[in-house]
Formats: sequence, structure tokens, C-alpha cells
Amino acid sequence: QVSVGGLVLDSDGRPIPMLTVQVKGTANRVQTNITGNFTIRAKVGDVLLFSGVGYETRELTLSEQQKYTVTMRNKVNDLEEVMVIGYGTTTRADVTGAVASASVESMQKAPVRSFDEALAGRVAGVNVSSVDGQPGSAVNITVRGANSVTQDNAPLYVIDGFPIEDPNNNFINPQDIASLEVLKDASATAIYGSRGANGVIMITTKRGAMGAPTITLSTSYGIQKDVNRMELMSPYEFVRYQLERNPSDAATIYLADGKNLDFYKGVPAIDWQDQLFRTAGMHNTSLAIRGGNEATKYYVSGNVLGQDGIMINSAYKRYQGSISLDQNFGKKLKGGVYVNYAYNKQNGMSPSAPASNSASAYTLFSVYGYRNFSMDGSTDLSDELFDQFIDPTVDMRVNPILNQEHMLRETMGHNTIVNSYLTYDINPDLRLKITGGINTTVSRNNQFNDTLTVYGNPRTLQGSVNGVNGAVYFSENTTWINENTLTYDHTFERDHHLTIVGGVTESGRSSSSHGSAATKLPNAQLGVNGLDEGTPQTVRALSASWGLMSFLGRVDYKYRNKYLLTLSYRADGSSKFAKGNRWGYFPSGAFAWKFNEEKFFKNIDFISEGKLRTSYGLTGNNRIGEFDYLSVIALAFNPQGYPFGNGTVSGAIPERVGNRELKWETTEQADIGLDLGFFANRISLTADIYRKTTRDLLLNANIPLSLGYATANRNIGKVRNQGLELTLSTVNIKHADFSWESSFNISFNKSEILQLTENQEAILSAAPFDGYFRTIPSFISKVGNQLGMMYGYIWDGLYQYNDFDVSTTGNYVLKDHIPTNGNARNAIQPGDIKFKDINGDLAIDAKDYAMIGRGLPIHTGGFNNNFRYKNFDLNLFFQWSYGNDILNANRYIFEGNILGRSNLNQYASYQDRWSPENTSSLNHRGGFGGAGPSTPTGTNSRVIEDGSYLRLKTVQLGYTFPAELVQRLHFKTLKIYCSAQNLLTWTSYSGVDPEVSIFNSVLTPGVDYSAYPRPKIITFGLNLTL
Amino acid sequence: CQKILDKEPSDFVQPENYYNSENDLNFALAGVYDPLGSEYLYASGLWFQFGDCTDESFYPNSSNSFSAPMFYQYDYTNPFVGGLWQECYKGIERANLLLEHIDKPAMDERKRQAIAGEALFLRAYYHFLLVSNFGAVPLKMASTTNVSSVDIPATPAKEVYEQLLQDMREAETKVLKATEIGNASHVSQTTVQGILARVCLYMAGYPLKDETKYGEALEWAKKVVESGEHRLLESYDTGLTNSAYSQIFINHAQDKYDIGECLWEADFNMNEGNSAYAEGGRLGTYQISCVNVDTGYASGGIRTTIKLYNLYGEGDLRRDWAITPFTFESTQTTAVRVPQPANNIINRESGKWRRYFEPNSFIKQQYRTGQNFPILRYADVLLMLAEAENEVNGPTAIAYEAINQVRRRGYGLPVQAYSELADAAPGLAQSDFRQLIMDERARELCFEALRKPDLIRWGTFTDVLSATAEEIMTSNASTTNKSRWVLGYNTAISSPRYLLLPIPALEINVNKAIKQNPGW
Repeated sequence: QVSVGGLVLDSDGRPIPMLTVQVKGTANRVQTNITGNFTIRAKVGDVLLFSGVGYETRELTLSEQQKYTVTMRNKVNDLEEVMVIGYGTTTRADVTGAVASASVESMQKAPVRSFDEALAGRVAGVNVSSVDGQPGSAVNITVRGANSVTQDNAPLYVIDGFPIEDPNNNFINPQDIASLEVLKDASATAIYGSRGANGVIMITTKRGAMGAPTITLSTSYGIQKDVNRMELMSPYEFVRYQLERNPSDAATIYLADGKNLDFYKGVPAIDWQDQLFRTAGMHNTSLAIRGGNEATKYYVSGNVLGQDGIMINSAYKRYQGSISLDQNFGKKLKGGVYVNYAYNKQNGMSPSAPASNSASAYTLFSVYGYRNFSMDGSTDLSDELFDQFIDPTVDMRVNPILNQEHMLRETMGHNTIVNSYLTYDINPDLRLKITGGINTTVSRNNQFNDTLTVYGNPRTLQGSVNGVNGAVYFSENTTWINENTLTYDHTFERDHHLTIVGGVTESGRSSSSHGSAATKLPNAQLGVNGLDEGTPQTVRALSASWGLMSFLGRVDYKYRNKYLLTLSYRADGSSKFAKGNRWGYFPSGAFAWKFNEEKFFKNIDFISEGKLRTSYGLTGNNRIGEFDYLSVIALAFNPQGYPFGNGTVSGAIPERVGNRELKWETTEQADIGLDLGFFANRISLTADIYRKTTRDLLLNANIPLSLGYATANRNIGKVRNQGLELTLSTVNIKHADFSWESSFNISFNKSEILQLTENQEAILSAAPFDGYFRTIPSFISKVGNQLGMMYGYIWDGLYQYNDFDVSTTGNYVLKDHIPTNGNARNAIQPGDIKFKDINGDLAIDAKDYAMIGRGLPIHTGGFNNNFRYKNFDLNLFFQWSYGNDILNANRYIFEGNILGRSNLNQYASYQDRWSPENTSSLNHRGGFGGAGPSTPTGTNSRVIEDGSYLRLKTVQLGYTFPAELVQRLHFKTLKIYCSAQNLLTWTSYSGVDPEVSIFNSVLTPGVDYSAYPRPKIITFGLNLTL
Repeated sequence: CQKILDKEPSDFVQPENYYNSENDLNFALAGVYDPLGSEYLYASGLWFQFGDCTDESFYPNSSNSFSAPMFYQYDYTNPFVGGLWQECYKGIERANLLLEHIDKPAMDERKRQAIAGEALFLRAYYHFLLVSNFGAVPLKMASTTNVSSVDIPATPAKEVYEQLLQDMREAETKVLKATEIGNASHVSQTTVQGILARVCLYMAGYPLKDETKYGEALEWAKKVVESGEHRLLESYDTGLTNSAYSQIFINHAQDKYDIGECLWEADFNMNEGNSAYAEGGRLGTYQISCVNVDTGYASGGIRTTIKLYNLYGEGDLRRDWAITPFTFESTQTTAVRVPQPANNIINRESGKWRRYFEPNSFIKQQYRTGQNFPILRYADVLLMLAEAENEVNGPTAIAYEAINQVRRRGYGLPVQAYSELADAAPGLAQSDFRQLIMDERARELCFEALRKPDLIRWGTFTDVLSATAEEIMTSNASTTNKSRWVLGYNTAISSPRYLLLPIPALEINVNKAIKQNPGW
């Protein structure tokens, strides 16, 4: 016998400590140490057996070699895998509710800033949609459909046991996350009571581990680039269109000095998109040290991230660090603390959120629509802010590059999270846990508009009033929490296992925001630091606070490892409601039956797991303002004051009418689930169906104006969501050198509005990208239907010559039996847009509105694949959304110029438009005021497109260096990789990106107008362990 | 533990914790006045959106599908229809809250009663605007406490009128005298009396036709005259202008009060030097078109009718003030006056309020001005007196004297002295005198948001608008312009529904107890 040594690594090339190595058929066994190394006495020909929790067992026949490197594969769908649930943990085998774990390891392969960006498609029932592709832009997560019609539908986040209602997920380094679970059904979420109805996302961060310090360095550098650009008209086509649209005006401008149309064939085009978009860099470096001994364990990490936006003058930066420490004080007492600090800075004007309600104020309006050639034939227009032929008081179109470069919009935030705990084992079965935590965010927002911006130039509408202007706003909020729980865990007479948790928790939050704006700043070069020299404007001073106090309890009972019962209960008291309505009670129950444990199943070998789950319970939603139940007297000069005797007196007005009857929104949810495993869980399937009904919706409901107010907060209305979720995980191929594992999930959710404010049949919502569309509904949420349906006219092609009579003077007069399009009969001409006349009154108006699209998808899902060949690994992750439509408002403007703006460039697709020579075109004619109704009177289905897409979201190809080589360099492990995000998209959507929703809410999903394009990201990185 | 749940709001006060001092009441009173200055009332709604398109003026820029009240293209979803309704009810709610808490602070009783009187009057005035524009509307005499009862029936118009009349009568005994107040922004005793005269005349006309109210109108108008607090403005700054009539409106541009002439104004203010504290209206911005901001930006949305122009007699100085005899040829930097050709009457613009009189020290925004809107002028009171006297006693000397004072000032003559040129022809029959009043009101009060309700109460709305449409069609305007300009008239006379505004969508969608007005 000789001494044989080796190193055991996981599939990511990290050493595995505490793994058992045994000489097969003997009692000779050792464990790997903290660095994954082992030494054992054996002889050539012996077989070594490697086994450990979470890993598939491996065998290795010894040769003459004395050093070995063994890579262990993670056991998929391990039934012993620990799952974090509310106020405790369980195992996959024993969980009774609908709880899903996201594969953090796969998510970490995505080159993104925060975990929520990688979450889409990972977990069945979790729908992730983001506004657009701007670094730091909001990501909206809904679990099993939206319950609330007008209130927040975001899930509750629980980070290391501390509930947070509105975390900025950018504050957490995704590399620090150890596990992420989603609690979906009432049994799992009811323990979070009044905040559980929207689902709960449990995040557990990495903690210290026993052993010598391990240092992990991961760093990556990448580039980002926009994926699609819109093709625009050439100068020639531009002028041709203008001459067609408004011959006399256009001739004065473009055909002056004896020029003719053909002259513009030789004029060079300026590509504004090319000047605005850039290939942007991104770097991300994390360093972590992990170690500890029997008594003390620690984890320290830091992260630096920089991401330039693909649009000039936009970027994101993060500096973050965290420390966690766990300490044993003797045998019974244990304590720990976790501190996370993050600084982040986001800058750049959002192209889809301007400070004006004109369609021309959005950044891409100028990029697409600004004249793309210089009148003198040169290629340079870079010094001029305005097109001389545009009136800047009515059209906010400006040189997009100058404007974007000069507009300052930045937010700097500091976030500190401090969580600590103490546990005391009163006896082996009974544990007391006391926790306390504080989460504070302080942020500052700077805005500045100099004379080279549309908001600060004296020639524009806003600039003429405000001059050079700026604002600084500070905000601060602090949430604190204290939780005290007792956990009792005991097995009676072998067959009865009982776990009881009981607790009292209290928490509170205070927030405030202060700041001011000033106009007419004399010294633009001072930026926001010169605000004191200008004319003071609105001063902001806001503050609010809430308190929450709760009692909670849960009983888990397991009989013979076959029958599992969970009962939970929470009582919440919240300061957000009037006395008498403060307390809400949220019970739930679940039952599970592991039928494969039954005798009659024991013989069916290929089924390794079989569990039927069912649950029912009530949860709540308290997402309303702190004092929404109270009436408010607001005092201000503007706008409610009155100038008595030429001196303005502040007005004290009832700004809001209170409602002391306000209470929780309650969601009742039933769930039936099935967990099946085949062939030692090489294939596993989880299926869930659910139905949840939310009643007493917290609705900012319309009330009759004659009450003196437009809206009031009321508990009114009912919404139902029901759906199906399937998750299938398989190990498709498993050889020593090659393996392929995959995981597929799909979720269907369908919402139905059962009731709204009494007498109200529908909530109409606008897509207010322009003043004209502010009062025109684009969405309808109607009783008996789904939420967020698109609403408007049905596009019916174009009027053709045979729709008209010819008058004696040669004019075309619409035949009497042909409906109008909203314009007067005598104004309609061949080539104009046509809509379906639903009520048959030959006139198109609001009575002809119909449902013309669905904003929410029929199903969404993801398909993740991990391949391994020797030291190479490849991850391919696909994600999709199917059945949702997008209201592509860009096409209103750039494929027909619905608002009739002068001298506006158009998409190249509008070169094909109706003309007497081209009557088969689907695009209406370009003639002046005749394209469609000269003022839009309805949303129209011409611009509604199928937004379904399948996306190759994440790809990572990695190579793990052989241990022998790496150890020679005194590293433990080394892996290099190349990752890509948003690499390929299959969609029929004609816009830049189908993953878009600029007015993201349940009522107004899927609107695309001037959205920040989502970049394609390619990064190169390495993970190094020392 | 309970402490955690007992949070008190830190950045606002609740109604029950407010109204503790005289100051609090004054701030609350400013809130009651505030809707007067809103876009939907006197910033533009009442005199432009709902005031254009009568026999005085029309809106020249109509296109066929643009949804706008200025040429009667609106329905129950129109924001100006909803806005007028909403702003009035906001004012009523604020007045109710103030009245319910009026006795809370310890303060001077006379001041308290004055505040109470103003709130009471304004609550009634908002009801008056509602009932005269919408007909039957919910009468609201207490603040909202229950947001769950949303089915609120309309009160018949007659009852609304009776109640607001009673409130105004009570207010009349509480508010201060104009000379005590010293400006036209607060409601004075004579303002209440003058508006009471107006309310009574409306009640006497269509649709209530309660002719007994002429007598009460006469009494109230007389009280204003007899108070001795008011007179027609007869002086003017010769450096600026050539008539006292024009001086009234120049005063508005310069934010000067003349409480002798103007009893009550919707107050706007752009002279604070700081736009954050400015309350801008749009008076001036729809008058003489001009793109030059220094001269005063305006878009020329109010063109006069040939009828109005021709109503003025030779020597009546009011004509060339109310109807601009020139245009501005203007650019960003310049503005040059060009006289209108004599035959070009239909293209002339209203020039009653002229932005070039705004002092340079005021904030000159494009679309906002500080010009006050006169809700009640003494000239109106005199004409109401003449009208009521004629209806009750016929064209007596009292009636003649009242109308002649107004006419003499119009011709630039002393108001108290007989004038052959200016005075109305003697010995008119009652009906002829009535026609004279109707014409005189157009001459004196044009563009002051009174014409449409006057035509409606006289029952002549449809006939007068038909005639105006005819006049436009036979004018020398281009064919295109004719067809654009008559659209509003043709719409307004196409259905009797245009005598009332429709109940707005946001009311009727949730309030199932209210019925839509006929025809809408």
C-alpha cells in the first residue's frame, strides 16, 4: 500500500471539503480537508469511492499515479437539498407547499448586474419583465399573476430572514447569493401574512465555513452593443416624403435656390443612431474570503462593477462590500452578524421617461425623427441644437446628441444592511432565536439642464420659462425589524415528527425626501452647485412612517415520513389602517402525501419520488401609502393658493379624502401539486395548478366628481388568477467525460376581473406617450375579462378609389355607405387609414373601440442546459414569452406621422406607402393631414404586434484548468469563461426589442415607445481560488 | 406595543387638526377661491372654450376632427366639460369644510363672519355656474365623509337655484363692503348684490322662466347703485390710451384694481418676479396674435363677428378697443403694427385685453398672463338694472339713465350729462328697449363670458347663432374658411342639447343615480 493523494472539485472547479473518500469494500475512509485535498493509503487496482451530500457518487480505479483530480457532479434534484422557507428550513422531500429553488449556480453564469436580471425564465410561476434595457432600469417581478389592480404587485423579499418590501436589488452582489427560493402558494406565504399575497422571494447569502481561508476572485470584462437599429429614410426619401406631405411648405424649404428633388440623392445622410449608440464596456470584479474554525466562521467579500450604457452619457457603477460572521459562545449560544454596504450611481436621461408629455420630448423621437442631413450638404450638424425649420415652442425635437450629452440626470445611493441574530438552545429540542436588523438607504438625485438641452434652452417652451435650471433631491429611508421565535423539534416514537414555530415580530420604517429646484441659473458652469443663484422653485419635503407588529405560528407534523401536514397562522397589526381595521388574520394549511413511500409503491423501482401536495390559505397585501386612510389638508402657494390683492396667499385644501374603513386586500389561494421523480431522480417533474382570488382590492377608485374628489382609496373589486406550472429537470446524458443536464419550465397564468368599483364595468388606461394619447384609452381592464387588454379601433386597411364617388369638379367624395375614420367625410381621401365600424353608424368614434390585443402573455418559461465535456462546460439558457402583444407606439410616429409633425423623418418602411401608383401598400398615404384622423381619437390595431419571443438569453462556455497545472501555480482552481447575454432572439416583432414595457403596470403592459434598447453583452472572465 | 401601530402623519395635517386660527381660515378661504383661477373656469374655460362661437366672436382655427368646445366639437368626455364640473365641486367641498369649522378658532367675530360670508357666497356661486351650465346637478351642502355612497341623484335646477339664492342672501349680510376690502379679489357686499341680480335675471329667463325674479333683480341692482361704492371709470392715462373704457382693461394688464368699476375679478398674478408663486391665466394670450414674446405672445383665437363690429355707432370708442383695428406682423424679435383694411372685418381679432400693456417687470410667459378677469363690472350692474326695470316697469327714466351712463362712457363723454350723440333714442317701446339692452350688452360686455348665457336665458340662442352662420357664409371670407368657421354654429344649432353641457363621463360612469342631459 502506498499513500495516494488528490483534489476533489465541484463542477465549477471549486474544491469540496468534507467529502468522503473510501476504498471500496473496506472500512478505510478519509475526508477531504478545507482545500478539497485528501490522502489515503491504498494500492494499485483498488477502487476509490467518492461520496457526499449533494453530489453523485463517483468511483475511481487506482493506477500507478499518486496524484488524482476528481470532479464531482452535483446531484440534480437532490431530495435532501435544504430549502429555505419562512422562519425555518425544510428539505425538498418534506416540503408541503409550492416552493421553488432557483438554480443560483446557473443564474450566476449570466453577465448581469443584479440577480433579478437573470431570474426571468428560471422559476415556473415567476414572471419577470423589465421596463427597458437601461443600466439600472426597474425589473418587475410578479409571482403567479398580478393580484392587485392599482397597487404594487411586487413580491416580498426576505434576505437572510429579514423581510424587505422594496429592496433595490442592485445593492446585492449576485455572487454573494447562496440560494434563492420562491414561495408561491398560500401555505408557504401565509406565514408572512399581510405581505405574503404577492409571493415571497427568499434570498440566503453566503456564510463562512470551517477551514483555512479560501480566497475567491472572479473578474470579468465585457462589451455591450445594441442589437437592432431602425432603418430610416435617406435624405432623398425624406425630402420626397415632405414634398408629398406638404408640397408648398416643403418646396420653400428643400427646393429653394433652384434645387430639385434629385439633388438630395447626393446628400450624405447623418446616422444619428450611430452617434447615440456605442459599444460600451462593462467590468465586474468580486473578491471573497471564506473560512473559519469550530467556533468562528466568516465570509468577507467586495465587488466593483462598472457598466457604461450603450447610449452615450448613461452608466451604472457599484462599489459593494459585505461581511458575515458567525460565532459560537459555548455549546448553547450562537450569534452572528451580516453587514452589507453598497454605493451605486446611475446616470443618464431615460429615453422613455421625459419630463414632458409630448411625444417629441422622448429621446428617440429626435434620434429617428431629426432631419438626417445638413442643408448645405455637409455631414455635420453637430453644433446646432435646433432644426431651423422646426418651431421649438411646439416640437421638442432637438439635436439628440447635444441634448443627451448635456442633460444631467444622476442618482447616487448608499445602502447599508445590518442584520444580526442570537440563538439559544434551551434544550436539544427547543431553540430560541432573536434577530434584529436595520436597512438604510440614503440617496441623492441631481438634475441639470443647460442651454444645450431641450429643457434649458430659452427658445423651447420649457426653457423659455425656466432658463438654465436644475434640482437636487435627497431621500432617506430606514427599515428596522426585530423578530423573536421559538422552534420546537421532536420525534415521538419514531413515527411522529413534530416541528412547531411560534414568534412575535415587530418592524417599522421611516422615510423622507427633501430638496429643491431652481430656475434661471445665471452660471451654467456651476451645475447644480449654482442652484442658490437662481430663482427658487418647488421645495420638496416629504416624510412618512409605518409600523407593523405580528404574531405567527406554524406546526409541521410528519407521520411515518408519508403524511405531512402544515398549519400556519399569522396575525398582523399595521399602522396603515385606522383603529378597528388594523389587525388582519391569515391562516393556511397544507397536506402532502409521499405515495411512493407506501408499500404498494415500493416495487415500482423506476419511480424514486412521488408526492402529492395540496394547500389552501389566506394572505394579504398592504401595499398602500402610510396614511392613505386619512384625509389630508395640504397647504401651498401653488397651485392651490389665490392672489388676493396681488399678493399670493397659500391655499389650504383637502387634497385627499380619507377612508377609515380601509383594510387589507385579501387573497385566497388553493394549490394542488405533484412532485415525481424517476430513475433515482434522473428525471424529475413538478406540476402545480392554482387558483387565487383576491378580494377587497385596495383600489384608488374613481368616485363621482361631485363628491369634490376624483378618486378615493377603497377596498373594492375582485380579481382571479389561475394557472398551471410545470418544471421538468433531467439528466440527459451522463458519462465520465460528457454530460448534459437540462431543466425546463413553463407557466400559464390567466387573470380575470370579477368585480370593480360598483357601477364600474371597466378601468380604461391610457398609454400617455403624448398629450393626445393621455385622454385616449389604450387599455381596458373589464369585468369578466383579463387584465391589461389593449383597446381601440380595429385597423381595416386603407380607403381605395372604389370607396369614393367622383364629383363634377374631380374631387373624391366618400360614398355614403362607407364609414368614416374619425375625420369629416369631405376630408377623407383615397389612401387614408380605415377602421372597422363596429356599431354600423358609419362614423368612427369611441363606440367602435374593441379589444385589440393582450398585454400579458399566455405562457412564459425557460430552458436551461448544462453541458460538460472533460474540462469544458457550456451553459445554454433559453427564455420565452408567448401570446403577449406590444403596442408599438413608435410606428404611430415613424410609420405615418400620426401627429402630423412637420419635417419629421420616418422609418424606411414608410417609403412603401399608398400613392396613386402604389395602391396596394398597407401604409396610408403621406399627404398633409390626411394620413389618418388628423387628431388621434383612438388607439389603433395597426401598431399592435405580436410580442412573443424566444431568446437565447445566456450562454457560457468555460474551461477549468487541470488541477495539476493550477497547483503548480499555487492556485487551488482556475476557470476561464466567455459569457454572453441576449445573444439571439427569435421574434416577429418589428421594433428594437420585444422585452419592453415603458409604462409597466398591470393596467398598461407592453407599450414600446423610445425604449432604451437592451444590449447584447459578451464578457470574458476568470474565477480563481487561492 | 401599541405604540408601533399608533403612527401620526408627519408631513400633512388632517382636517380635524386644522382650522385653529384666523390664519388657517384665511388659507382655507384662498383654497375656496382657487378654482376660479383654474384653466376650466376663468383662466380660459368660461370665456374662451365655452365663450367663443356666439354672435360676438368665433374661433378661426378649427379643423374638422379636433375635439374642442370653441366650435362645439365636444361630448361628455371632453376635459373642459369635466373640468368645469370638477373645479366647481372642488370649490364647494372646500367651502363646506371651511363652513363646518368656521367657529373653531377664537378670533374677531366680524372677520369670522366675513370669511363665512365669502365661503357661503362662493359655494353658491359654484352651484350657480353648475346649474346654469349643466341644469340639474347634485346640490352639495356638507363636506364628503363617506366615499362608499356613490349614487348621488341630481337636484332639480329650480331647487338648486332656490338654495343658492338663499345662501347668497345670507352671505350679503356677512361680507365686508368693497371700500373696506380695497381690492376686487375678495367678494364684497356689492359683489354679492350684483351677482344676486345676475342670478335673478337667469332665473327669470329660460329655462326656469320665473318672471317674478325680475323684481328681485331690480332691487339687488339698485342696492349696488345706491351703495355709492361704485361708479363707471371715466378717467384714463392719456399717455397710454384715448378712452376710459380701454383704461379698464389696461388696468387688468397692469394688475391695478379699480373697485369703482370692477366689483369682482378672478385674480391672476405674474408680478411676483418668481414664477413659482405666480398664478397665471390666459387672458391676453388668445387675443391679438403675435409671436413676439416681449410684445406679448398671443394666438388670436377670438375673431369678432361682422355683427358686433356693426353694432357700434359712429364715435363709439369701445369698437376699436374691443375689436383690434390692426394686426401684428411679428417675429421672435420684432412686432410691427399693420392696420387692418377697412373691408376686412371678419378677420379682426378681439383686442380687449392687450399684452403689450403688461409692464416689463412682470413675468412675460408665452401662455400665461397675470391679467385679471372681470367677473362683475359696474357697467354690467347698470345694464342689469336697466333690463330689470324695463321688464318690471317698462322703459322708464331709471332704465334710460342706467343704459345711457354706460353709452356715454363708451363715447368718451361725461356719464352724468345728457348727450345727443350717445344717449339711446327716447320713447322706445318695451320690446325695442329690450333689444337695445341686448345689443348694448354685446357692445359693452363682449368677450366677458356673458354672451352665451345671456342668449340662452333670452331664448334667442338658436336664432342668433343661425343668423351668425348666415352672416359668415355671406361674408367675404374664403370658401375654405367659411366652411371651417360655420362648423361650430351649425353644430350648436343642430340640436337643443347644446343649451346644456353634458354630465361629464367621470361623474356618470360611477354615479348611477344621475341622468345624462337630454340629447347627450
